[in-house]
Amino acid sequence: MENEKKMITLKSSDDVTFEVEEAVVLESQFLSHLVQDCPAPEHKIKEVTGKILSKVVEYCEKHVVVVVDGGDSSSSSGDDLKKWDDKFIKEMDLSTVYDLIAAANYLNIQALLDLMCQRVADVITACKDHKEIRETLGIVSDYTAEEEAEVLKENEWAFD
Amino acid sequence: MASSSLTPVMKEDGECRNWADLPSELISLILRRLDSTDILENAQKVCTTWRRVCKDPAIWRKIFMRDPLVDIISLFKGYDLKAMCCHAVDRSEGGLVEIDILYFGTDSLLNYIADRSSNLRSLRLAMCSSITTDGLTEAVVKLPLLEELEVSYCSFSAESLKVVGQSLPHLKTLKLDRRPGGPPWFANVSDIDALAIAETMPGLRFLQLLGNLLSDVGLNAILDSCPHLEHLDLRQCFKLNFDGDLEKKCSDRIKVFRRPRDSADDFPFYATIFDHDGYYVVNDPYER
Repeated sequence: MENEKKMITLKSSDDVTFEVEEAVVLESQFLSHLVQDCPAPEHKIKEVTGKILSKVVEYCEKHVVVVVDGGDSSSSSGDDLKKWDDKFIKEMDLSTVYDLIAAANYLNIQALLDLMCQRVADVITACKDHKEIRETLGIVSDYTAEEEAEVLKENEWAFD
Repeated sequence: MASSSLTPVMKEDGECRNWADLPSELISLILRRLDSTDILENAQKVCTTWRRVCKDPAIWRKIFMRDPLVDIISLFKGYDLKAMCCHAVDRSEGGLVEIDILYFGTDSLLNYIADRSSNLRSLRLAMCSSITTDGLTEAVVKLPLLEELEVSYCSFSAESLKVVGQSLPHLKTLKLDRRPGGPPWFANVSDIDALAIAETMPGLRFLQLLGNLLSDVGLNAILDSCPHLEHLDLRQCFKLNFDGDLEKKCSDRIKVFRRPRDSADDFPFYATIFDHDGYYVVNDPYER
């Protein structure tokens, strides 16, 4: 039997192209519907830049390979995958994480979305208070002085 | 589902992203992963968008209060973890599905939760030394949808186990780990308890009995009565001899089988017991 894999080309908003196996595309719910509904060889993804799409493709390629190989030794490949995920996140700045959250949500890749959201949650947890969260994530407070005082006062859980 | 109204978040490289501009449903996905104390003490004070997200009952379907340092921090900052937990339960407006409490659980808190959370599927309690076996039983029978129950290092009698088993027809996961550092006779699962599990919890998929005192008799009863068991953790249960083909029976039938002498290093509260007649080496959860 001919074992040639079906290839699909993805094109980013800034016209960077990625040739990937169909199995990789199926990691994304959005793309698998797109490929089924309109079987063209190339699909433009207007909402995602080349830089971010390359990360998405890298993630999906890694995860699709492990799932296929996992038939025999699923537990060790699960550990390897976790290590790979940790490294993947560690090398990433928060702007990229932000864009990947939006992209994973748009392309509907649940595992990638979970991974990125957990990364931000870990960053928030490491902050000692709300001011440090603002600084770390570049959020400007939009409270008025009165509102802010009100918010800071809210502590029904304080000891009497 | 992919959001149909995608905000244009893909900016030029190098430009700073404002995390408050992320769509609310995505902010919610991030914040619901935080420990509940971090949401109440920090996240909801960041900006008006985050505050609105933190007020949404959806974010309180899961309550995690399991930071090992939390009771030290709470004393230092002057807040009452029980009051905070009640406040979090109130915010869930009856939608609480999963709750995870370390140290500060009491009978009255448990019953406060149980009276307001009929949808609860997962109740995890660790090192809550104030919880009594009666208090726990009283709360758990009010939670008929419970699928997961963890009672680690809290006392729990065989009689209570039976009542719990009979009240929870959907129970699939049970974790009963032993009080760390306690002498062996403090163990809360002996053969009587194992027989109670076997008698009343035939639907179990996942059973974790770290550092307990059941013997081959109890284990055989559990294996015979729980045909769906897929995960069995018997680390540091040194009374097990695995006479005859018992070990083979376990490894043939159970997908994930942890033996008494397997490493407990990944266990969050304590790691090593030297051997079955002697000393306990306890990893203090404060040292992390």
